[in-house]
Amino acid sequence: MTELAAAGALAPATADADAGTAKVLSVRQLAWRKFRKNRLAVFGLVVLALMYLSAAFAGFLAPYGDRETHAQFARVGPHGLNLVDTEGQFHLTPFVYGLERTMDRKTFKQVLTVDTEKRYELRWLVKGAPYTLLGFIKSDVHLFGVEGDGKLFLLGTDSKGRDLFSRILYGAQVSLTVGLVGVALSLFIGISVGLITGYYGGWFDEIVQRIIEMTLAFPQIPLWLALAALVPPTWNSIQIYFAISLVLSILSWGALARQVRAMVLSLKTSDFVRAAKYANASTGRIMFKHLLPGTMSHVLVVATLTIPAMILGETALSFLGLGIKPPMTSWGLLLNEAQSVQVILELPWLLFPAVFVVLTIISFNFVGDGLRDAADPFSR
Amino acid sequence: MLAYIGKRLVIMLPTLLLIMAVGFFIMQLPAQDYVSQYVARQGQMGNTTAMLQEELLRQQLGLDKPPIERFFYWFFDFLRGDWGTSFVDSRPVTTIILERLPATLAISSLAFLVSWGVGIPLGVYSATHQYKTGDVALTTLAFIGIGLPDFLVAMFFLVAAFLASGQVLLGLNSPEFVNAPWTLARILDFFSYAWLSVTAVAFTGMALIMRVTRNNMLEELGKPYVLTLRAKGLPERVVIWKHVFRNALHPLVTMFGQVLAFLINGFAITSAVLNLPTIQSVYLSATFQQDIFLAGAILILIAVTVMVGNLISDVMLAWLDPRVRYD
Amino acid sequence: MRLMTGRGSALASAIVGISLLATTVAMAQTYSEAPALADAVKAGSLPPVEQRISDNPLVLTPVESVGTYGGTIRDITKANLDWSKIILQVEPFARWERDLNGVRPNVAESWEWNDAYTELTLNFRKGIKWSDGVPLTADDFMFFWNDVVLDDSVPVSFPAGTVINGEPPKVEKIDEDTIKFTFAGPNPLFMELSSRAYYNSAQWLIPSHYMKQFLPKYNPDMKDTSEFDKRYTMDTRIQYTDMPTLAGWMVTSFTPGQRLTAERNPYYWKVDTEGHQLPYIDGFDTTVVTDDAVSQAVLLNSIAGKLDFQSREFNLADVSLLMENQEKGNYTVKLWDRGDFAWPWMMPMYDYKDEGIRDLFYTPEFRRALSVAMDRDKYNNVAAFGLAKPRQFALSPLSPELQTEEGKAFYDKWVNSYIEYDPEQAKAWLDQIGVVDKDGDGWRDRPDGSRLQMIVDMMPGDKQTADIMDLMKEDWDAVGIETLLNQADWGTLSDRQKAGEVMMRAWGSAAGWGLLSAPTVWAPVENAEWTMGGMSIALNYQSGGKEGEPARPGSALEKLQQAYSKAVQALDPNDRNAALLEAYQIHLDEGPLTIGTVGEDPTPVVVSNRLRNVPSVGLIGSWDMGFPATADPEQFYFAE
Repeated sequence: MTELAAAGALAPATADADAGTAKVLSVRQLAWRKFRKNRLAVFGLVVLALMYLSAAFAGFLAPYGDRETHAQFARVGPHGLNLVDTEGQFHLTPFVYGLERTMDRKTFKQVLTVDTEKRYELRWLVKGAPYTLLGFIKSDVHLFGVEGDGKLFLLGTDSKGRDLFSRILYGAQVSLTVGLVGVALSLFIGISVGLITGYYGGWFDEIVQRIIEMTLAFPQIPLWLALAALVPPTWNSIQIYFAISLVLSILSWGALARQVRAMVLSLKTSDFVRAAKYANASTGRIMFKHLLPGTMSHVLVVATLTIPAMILGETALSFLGLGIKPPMTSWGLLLNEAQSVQVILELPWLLFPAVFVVLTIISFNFVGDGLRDAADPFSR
Repeated sequence: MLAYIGKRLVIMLPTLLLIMAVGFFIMQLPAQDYVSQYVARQGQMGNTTAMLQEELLRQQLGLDKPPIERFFYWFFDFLRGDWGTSFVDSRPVTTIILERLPATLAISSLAFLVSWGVGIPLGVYSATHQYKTGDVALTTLAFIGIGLPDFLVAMFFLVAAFLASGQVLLGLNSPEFVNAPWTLARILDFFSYAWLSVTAVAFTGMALIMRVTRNNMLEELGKPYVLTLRAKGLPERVVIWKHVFRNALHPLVTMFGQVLAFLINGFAITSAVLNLPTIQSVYLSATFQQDIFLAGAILILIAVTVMVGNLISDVMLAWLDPRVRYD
Repeated sequence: MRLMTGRGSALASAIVGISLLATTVAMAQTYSEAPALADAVKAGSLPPVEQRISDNPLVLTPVESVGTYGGTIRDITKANLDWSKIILQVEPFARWERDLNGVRPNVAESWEWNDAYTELTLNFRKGIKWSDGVPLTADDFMFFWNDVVLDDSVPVSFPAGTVINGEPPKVEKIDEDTIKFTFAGPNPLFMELSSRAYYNSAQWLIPSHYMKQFLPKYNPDMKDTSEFDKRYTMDTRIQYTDMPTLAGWMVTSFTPGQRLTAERNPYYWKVDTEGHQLPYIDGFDTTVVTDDAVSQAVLLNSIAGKLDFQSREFNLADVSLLMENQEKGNYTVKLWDRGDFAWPWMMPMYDYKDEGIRDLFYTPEFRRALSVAMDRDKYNNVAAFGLAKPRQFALSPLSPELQTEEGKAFYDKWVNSYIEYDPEQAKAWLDQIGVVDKDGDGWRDRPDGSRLQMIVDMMPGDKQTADIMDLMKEDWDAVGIETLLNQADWGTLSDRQKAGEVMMRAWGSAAGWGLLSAPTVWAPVENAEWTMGGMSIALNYQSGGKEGEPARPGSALEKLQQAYSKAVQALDPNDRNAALLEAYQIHLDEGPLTIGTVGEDPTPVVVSNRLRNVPSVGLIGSWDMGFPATADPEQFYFAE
């Protein structure tokens, strides 16, 4: 029966809430309804939307600018908001305590003292470091912050005294966007090639398979090194990363193409395809309206797993010194700075970006699952 | 089928040649070569005479000849079994690779067994108990495994193991067992170190396998034939394992091809971070230092394993799925 | 003839007298050896100790006390084995003093110069033997000179410091233990130069009885010199366990990428003040670790108490963790100096292709403005945990010429010049020379109105430089100088620097000493990437004016080149020191010519509490001085 559905047969009529009129919903509308019912998928979508919005408005949401350093407060743990002060009094407006920093010359440890005498209240719409939103809106108003000498380090600071919470927001701008174009391209090429070669087979299929093998067997690391060496030094970090990830995605469509091809190979002998052929459906129609939906769920799963792979790929590149370089920041770079025994033992808050990475990936996966379930109206 | 396999094997050869050529030239692209990097490092350490000998060193290592000529020498030597010498420690490439092969295979196969052997059943469980507590817990774990870079996970495990046991589990054996014969004591020592590396490497892989299995199972479970089988009165266990599972395996089978390559090309950074004496870790350092014979030989090995892996995948797919035919 | 042991000549005779006396006393002593060796002697497999330690063993004075035999040092090295080499392979003709105040006899027991410093007669220790018992004689060195250096088919060129004015020296054998160098010109610093680490005279000493079999000339089975080369070059020599050595320990096993072990050399020719043959310690058990794993390895193993002596591969960030765990791991953390004068070291290139920039660099106020615009305390706190020193570009205070009264006073002024954080002063100077914002874009422009940008290049992978450069960019931006930072790998950077395309370079952990190590950091005289001033200008000096381009006439750079020539030609150490101080004065008067930021970074050294005789001060960063071999690990011992 899946075949029938895929053949674009009439969707079953559904009754409306106020009984009486029977409404005919298209497959797409059905799918959206299905999706909405999947709570996890919706949760994922909401989280992603929030993430992307936050990234877009990072300058406004972050209490500090992307280059702002607080040198005397480097390597400080989370120093956040309090509602109840030391006397047990509750304050409606949250506040932070003052902060003092000295180095103990004997143990070489930084000693942090919280000064409970000084209180800095949380303020909204404070003036802070200037930033640019969406490339053209210039402003210096931040959503929240503290004034004067107060410091608000919600997630602590890094080794150079930069607020981690702010950096995570700025890093999101790079991490959440830079892989998308590459993935999209990769998917487009991979699906098209997989469909075509799986359907036609023959010597064309053979040649393409060999080309895919070649691209998959390609040594990635030397390729990265070589590309890194060829890139003009005048390009900034983001341009370099775009270029490299573009090239790499063009090379990675192979895996997806093979999987699509495998599914097409098994599907093309099935009845509904033969039926479509007898009905004189054009090859294009067969491929896009019949075969493609059958591969859709697997493709979606792969897509939602590829984006995280790009985010992680960027981490690996940062580790090898080949990707984004400071002063640009990305989650991969933030995690890379946390990659040491000393950090794990003494500055564990620097691992926080991992939470955001995992959250993003979970969200993409839930959305992917939801889409897959929704695309197949007969799944449970 | 045999004819098909034969044909594929024959076609592998020109592909391999192409890969060798492209790979070799890719490695020549950076403006520096091994000698310039070497001379630079020596200069920094105070050995200024290295600069004077730069040309002589190039001649010695054969790096002064034009790339095309060097490629052909390398290619024909390679076929004869002479894979060249590593510039870094002047030992034959074959020795280095063979030396590292056992450790590499040990860790990769153990990791593979763990990630597939544990991931698949857990994925099936997850699918059959969708959205129940077990599934939610497993899914969360899976996401953490997929979401974190594997070398960060390795670092975590290293520190956690250190805090718990005081053991520094870098590498695969205690210093006294290096080159010792394989007594029971050594085997035990090996496992006391290897569990960390295997777990770290398998963690990510297992997460992935679990997810893919779960998705495939869920998809199959939604198909009408499952209803039919149940209506026939077959016990659930038979329905799941004899029918649904076998069908859900297909996409996994296409992934199996990558496993062979994973054996020597996976977890490269984790190898370096955990000081594992694997082929991957030496591949990293060889590539960065432009030790072209060593890097080139490993490149070929990776390519061959990828191609053979793909062939195995295709054959297995045809064997499993009667709908698939290669004409 | 002048008898020199590296100190002032007035002191020399007295010292020589005393050491001769000590030698005679030593010879009258009875010697003792490690128990295992004593057993071997009883069993007849080793000759008695008196016959093994040479006729005139070197007497080492222990840092704390005479020690006891036994124990194995556990440590960690990277795959390139540099750490092991710098302990096990530094046996030059002479070794640097522990306080860096000259050199002391090592394999050579004495040497004599003629008055013009063109002829050097070198006396090897009589009776000194290789680790397999075969004597080291002048023949070994003549084999090196005639069959290796002079033979074109062997890829070994004339050793550093022997070629004067383009001409190589003559080397002749005087007797079994004496050779004579005749240089083409005065070469007063030859002993100091050849004592640096393991690349100089330590490398020239090879066992001819072993090496002959690898030369085609002596062994027709050898088709080329590749086997010889591998054993000759210090990079790989350490891997050959069958090759005889002069060091305190011989490498007994080497598993690439895994482990290296060394055991005591029964023929070692050093003793302590009571006649015990050194070394005290039985051997080394060294774990080899990949570059990416080495930070974890040294930190965790130190805390776990599994390292006995480790001075490399630590990061400053690890200091607090290491200090915290001293009791748990039963070790003490000593802080040795990196010996660097700046990290990063800002090098303006006076041969940059843009004339306008050159004009600015040749203007002292511009450089001073850049210098006082820097908040060095902030850099120190952020990048070096406040442990380094804000300082101007000035050579290390341990350099001999800066150890005199005059030198110390001068050094004080030099190292503190133009380092106070004063952005207002910076702006005032910039205004004064006409570097003001003419087009209203917020950035200062050149005096002629065109755009001014400071483009700084650096190499990747150097965290301290990267961190400080980010902060420096903010500081320079704040005074109105638009600053761009750029990273490039060594090769690309080197090529661009040669072509005059690098405006300013930020060099990480720069170290240099007078005339001995990289003199080109204070005068543009050697065509290397670490030369100050610019590679073309240095090349011009080095090639005698034939290549490159000259420094501007009357400029500080030109004066420095002249001062360098004068210093190099000085034969008397006092004259030399005076010439060097004159040269440095140019830096003080017209500088800063290159700009320093923070320097003298400390490095943690982990020393097991059971290990004794380890000095509290030492030098890590500069390979040239040969630490920790210069700390004489042969006299370390384990107390039970």
